[in-house]
Order: sequence, then C-alpha cells, then structure tokens
Amino acid sequence: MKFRNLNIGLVLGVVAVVLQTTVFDRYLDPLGVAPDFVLLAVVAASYHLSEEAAMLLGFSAGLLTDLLGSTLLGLWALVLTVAAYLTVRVRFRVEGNPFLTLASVFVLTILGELLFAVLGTLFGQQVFSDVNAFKKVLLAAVYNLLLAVLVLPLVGRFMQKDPAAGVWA
Amino acid sequence: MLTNQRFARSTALFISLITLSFLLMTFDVRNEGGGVTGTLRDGARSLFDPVQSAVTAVVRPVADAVDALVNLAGLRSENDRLREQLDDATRILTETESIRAENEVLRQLLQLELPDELLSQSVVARVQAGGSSNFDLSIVLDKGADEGIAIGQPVVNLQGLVGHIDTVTSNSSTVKLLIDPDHAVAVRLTPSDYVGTAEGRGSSDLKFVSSQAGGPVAEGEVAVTFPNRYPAGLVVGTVGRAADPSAGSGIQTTVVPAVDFERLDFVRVVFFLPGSGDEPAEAPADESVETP
Repeated sequence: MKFRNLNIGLVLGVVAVVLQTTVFDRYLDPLGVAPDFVLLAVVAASYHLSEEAAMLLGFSAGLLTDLLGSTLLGLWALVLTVAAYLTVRVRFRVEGNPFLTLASVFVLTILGELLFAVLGTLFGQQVFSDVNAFKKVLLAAVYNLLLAVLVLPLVGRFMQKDPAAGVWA
Repeated sequence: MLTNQRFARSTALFISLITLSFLLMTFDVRNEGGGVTGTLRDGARSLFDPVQSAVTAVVRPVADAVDALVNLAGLRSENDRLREQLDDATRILTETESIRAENEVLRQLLQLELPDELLSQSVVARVQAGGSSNFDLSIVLDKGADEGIAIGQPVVNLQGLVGHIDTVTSNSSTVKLLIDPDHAVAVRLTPSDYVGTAEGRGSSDLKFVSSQAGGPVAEGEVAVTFPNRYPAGLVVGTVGRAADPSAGSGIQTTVVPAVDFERLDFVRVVFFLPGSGDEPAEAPADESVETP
C-alpha cells in the first residue's frame, strides 16, 4: 500500500506520454493544437499524492517527454516538477469545489505552458518564434479543462487518499 | 515539528529536482543533443518504439474510420464545390493560352518527382508518432539507421519537402518539420527566379526573406529548394501573398507549405547529405543567398 499511489501515478505518467505522442499530437488536435495530456495527468495525480511523490512523478513524466520528443532534455522535467509542486500547494484551497478544481487545471496548464515557452526561449529554443504560441497555450488549457472533467474523477477512483500510507502515498 | 521537517524535506527535493533539470538542459545545450544526453534519448526511444508502434497500429484504423465518417457527411457539398472550381479553372484555361502554359509549368513543379538517382537512393517510412507537445514540431518514423537513414537527410512526400532527419536510432528516426521555427531552407521562386530563405514559424505559413530580390514577387509563385542542405528542385510551397521589394531590405512575404503537416503518414527519406551531389561549391548562408 505504501507506494501504491506513486506506482499508479508513474504508470499514468508513462501512459500519458505515449498517448500524447501517438494519439493526441497526431489525431486529436482540433484547430492544430493538442491538449497537454501529460501535464493534465501529472496535475490529476498530484491531487492524490504527497508533495514529494507528486514532484517525483512530475520530474519523471517530464523527463520521459523530453527523451521521446525533440525538446531540450530537462525542460519538461522542470515544468512538470513545478506544476506538481503548485498543484500540491493549491489543492487544499480547491478541494471539494469542482469549479475551483477545474479552474486550477486551466490556470496550471497556462502557467506550465508559459514556463515552458519562457525557459525554452532562454535556452535557445525558438518557442516564441511560433506565431501561434499564445493560441497553443490558450487552446491547450481549454482542452485540458474539458478533459479534466473525465480525467480527474477517473484518476481519483484509482488513487485514494490514505493518510496512513505516509509521505510516499 | 513533523510538518516543518516534511516541509524542509519537500523543499530540498524541489530544489534538487529543479537544479537537476537545469543541469540536464545545460548538458543538452552544450552537447548539442549528442553525448550522454543523446545516448539517453537513443535508449529511451529504442525502449518505447515498439510501444508507440503498437499504439499507433491500434489507433490508426479507428482514426481513419472516424475521418471517413466525418468526410462522408460533407462529401456532397465538397463535390459540388470542387465541380464549380473545376468549371472555373477550365474556363480560365481555355480563355488565356499564356495562363494555361504557365499553369502547366506550375503543375509540373507541384507534381515534381524525384530524379531517378535520388529515388533509387531513398527509403519509404511511416509516421509512428508525433511531437511530445504543441511546441515540438517533429515526427517519429518507423525506420532508422538500420535502413541507411542518417542525420541531415531530407524527407519528402508526394506533396513536397517535409523536413530533415534530426535524430536517429537503429530502428526509428525523428524528423524536424519544415515549419519548425529552428528550421530554415534556401529556396528559389519560380518563375521570378529569386533566391531567399523560407523560415519556419510554427504551425503557420513560412516566412520568405530575400535580400537579393530586385523586383516584385507574385502570389502563387512556386518555391523549390535551392541546392544547399537539400537537393535542388524539391517543392517547398507557394507564395502566399504578392510583395514588392522595399528599399534596402529586399522582399519579405509568406510561403504556404505544399505539405499538409496535419495528415502525414507515408514519407520518403532521401539518402542525400549536405556536401554530396549537386551542392554548390559555396552554399548560400541563410540571409546571404545570392540570386543566380
């Protein structure tokens, strides 16, 4: 039971990265923009994990995204670590309120994508040369908001809160 | 007390992970994608290639079926629209002989096939995965170094130039798409014959810049590759809007890519490397291409 939620989170992270590269980016990208499913998965899992476990999940999922993509190694790892950290920080304020929870997913997606764009630009990636950069950030956040209605309850079913499980729950 | 200890521990972990991320980014920038970080990437890709292939094999027929259903609904109106367009085009072609001749040239350019020597030295590959995010404008092919694919080789499909090979593992390869903001290609416009660069701007039209152009550029002119990184004559796209040269800064306009990057499936990797074949002795730099 001790690592149950973390293990589920890591499996969820791997599945999310595979789905992002094979399904969302290729087939489910209305208006040319795909949801940021990996970020959504990390945020959804972080609502049910301890602070440390959430950050480790964010880092691992981000690193895998970097390894399978052509972005700078460590860029998504950093962004998703920060996203997981922020999720844990805000979850006590939004818990029990579905509208605030969905709003937090929307805001966290925008913050994550903007952090990616700014850091990427600082490290020489031409993110802001993309004329549709802001459209991509906004639409990805909207799609994540819509997907969150399905994903958050689904993840909640698998990952239950268990105070006895300690920090690695 | 316990809460404070936990907070200190999680803060320490947060700082460690952020520091590690910055170190990885710095290594990756310094190694230019090679070295340890390159090896890590190759390993991860080799591990996940079969998974991505399997998922794509399952999803592709479903996506195709959904596509077909969606297309069926709009087929009648699309057919009527195309019939009207065909009538218009036929009328215009019969009205003006010169336009018809020019159209024939453009049609040939758009349907340009690879020269035999390049066709025989190429391999057909299938897209097995897309980029890892909206800002990652790349695709993953199901063939790699085992099939003779190497970094830098051009990738084309029936519509035109798709991009070039960016990274390779033994059985897969990543293509940096033409529209990637890090990508620029030397092109020649036809029929005006001006040479310039077409730069990626994300999922949008390319930016064409030519400091050498002395006259106007017409909408619809065809942009083909100028021998440099790519072999000559591969269709890149068509000029999106007419432009006149402004004093001292040449011409700047847009090029609509010939390739539909949303629907890439089969592509051809050409075993051409910069420095081989018909590359000119002095390859034009991005901003300093010369009008021949």
